Amino acid sequence: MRTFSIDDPGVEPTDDGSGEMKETASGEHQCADSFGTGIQVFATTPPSSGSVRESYLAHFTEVARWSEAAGCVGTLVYTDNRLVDPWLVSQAIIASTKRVCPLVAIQPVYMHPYSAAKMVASLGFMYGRRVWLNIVAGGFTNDLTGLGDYTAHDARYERVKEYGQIMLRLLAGEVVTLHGEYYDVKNVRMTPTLPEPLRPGLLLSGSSPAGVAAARAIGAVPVKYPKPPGEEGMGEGNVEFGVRIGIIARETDDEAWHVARDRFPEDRVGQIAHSVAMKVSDSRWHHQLSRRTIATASSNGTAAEPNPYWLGPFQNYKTFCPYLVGSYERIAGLVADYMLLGAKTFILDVPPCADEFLHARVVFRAAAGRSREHATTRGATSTDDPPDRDPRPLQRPNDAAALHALVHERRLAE
Amino acid sequence: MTVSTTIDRLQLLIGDALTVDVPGADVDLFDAGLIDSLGLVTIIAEIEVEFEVELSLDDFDVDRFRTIERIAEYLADVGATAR
Repeated sequence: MRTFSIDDPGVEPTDDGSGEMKETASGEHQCADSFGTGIQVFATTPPSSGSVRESYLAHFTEVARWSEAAGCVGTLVYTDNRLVDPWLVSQAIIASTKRVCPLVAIQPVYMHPYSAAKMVASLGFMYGRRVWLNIVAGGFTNDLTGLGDYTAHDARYERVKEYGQIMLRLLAGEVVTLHGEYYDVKNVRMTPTLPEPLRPGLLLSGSSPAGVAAARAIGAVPVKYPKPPGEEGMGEGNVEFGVRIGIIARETDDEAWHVARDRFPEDRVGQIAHSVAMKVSDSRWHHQLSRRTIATASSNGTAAEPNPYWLGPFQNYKTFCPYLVGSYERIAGLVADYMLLGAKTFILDVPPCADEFLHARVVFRAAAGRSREHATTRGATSTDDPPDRDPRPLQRPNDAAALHALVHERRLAE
Repeated sequence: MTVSTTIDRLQLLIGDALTVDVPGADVDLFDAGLIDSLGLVTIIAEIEVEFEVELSLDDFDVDRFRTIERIAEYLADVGATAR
């Protein structure tokens, strides 16, 4: 009997099975796509707030190894005034894994673009590892004003444009001169130089028009906390976008909701924290999500079924992202809808255990299959139309059976 | 219960919850650096326990909680001191 561990997930490998970076036609080395789906899935690194100091380092590096073994491209390391430094966390992740890429949140207020570029170049020089960057303009005004930054919401995205331009040009090996509104650099170059395959992938958090425009200006993928697929529009100009979302999927809706409510029970202090946080945030995402009611009509639900789009964790201040909760089949349908709308990057929430990735894998593989079939069926028809629900059942039994077999094997091995 | 009693209770509550000495009921707690948004969450949660009230989640504007006097006025407005 073959034993199972998360290091050997046992399902088809995501690419050539080597676990190494792949070389594209352009010669660029990239982390492979996730789960053999053609999309990029990131996990999220546990934040230091609320963590036990003595075990935090061991915990988040273990989570990074789970993410790597599961086939994630990388893991988000986010940042705000309450958290430990994301670059130091990222370095620890790199040192304790073989290929997973830190997705480092960078905030212009915290670091000059030259210093951010220096971090990327230094990590590349020392470890030969590519990092991804998630540029955030800064949503919590208290964080910003505490540091003397009173830049208005849209102007912060103008600053992000200059920030990204300086950083990316430095990492491309240019000698950079830019006399901007926010930064002034003259004849500056980056040493050590960064090999082209290690140039960072770039995401930008923000769903406002200013955020999307900034992403476009610097060639970043805009990332948002999505609305339900039925309400979510195409990416502006049909451009690719990313979503940050949690997934709790199981064989049945009931099983998934049992897990969800057990993991995120109602918490009065959390609700107070959420309410206070919304008062001190000018993030459009936070306010859009906060205004939503839990009982939003679902595109594929009925009155008798729970809505799979769940804001419970957000409203109890356990996370900032919405969750999709339900059966593999139902959640795969929603994920496929996001894909058809242009989402090619998914940033999952912090995993509670390694096995959570197995459930996510079932969803993403089924969703990718459905999305491909749908795209083929639609052919050259307009992509502006909202996605129709595909009435055919997913190939769930195969994936679900594989999952059960793997879990069963693992239990036997233990 | 009077507002002045409420003020006394709030001073004790905030001092205990955040381990700070509040110099006066009219001191701006945020400007003085005595509390931040996380401290505000703690204070609200403690107030709900101490005054046996569940406050509206829509009411948590920072300005309502800037000074102990304002907090006492707010609690009076919502009837939290009347029991």
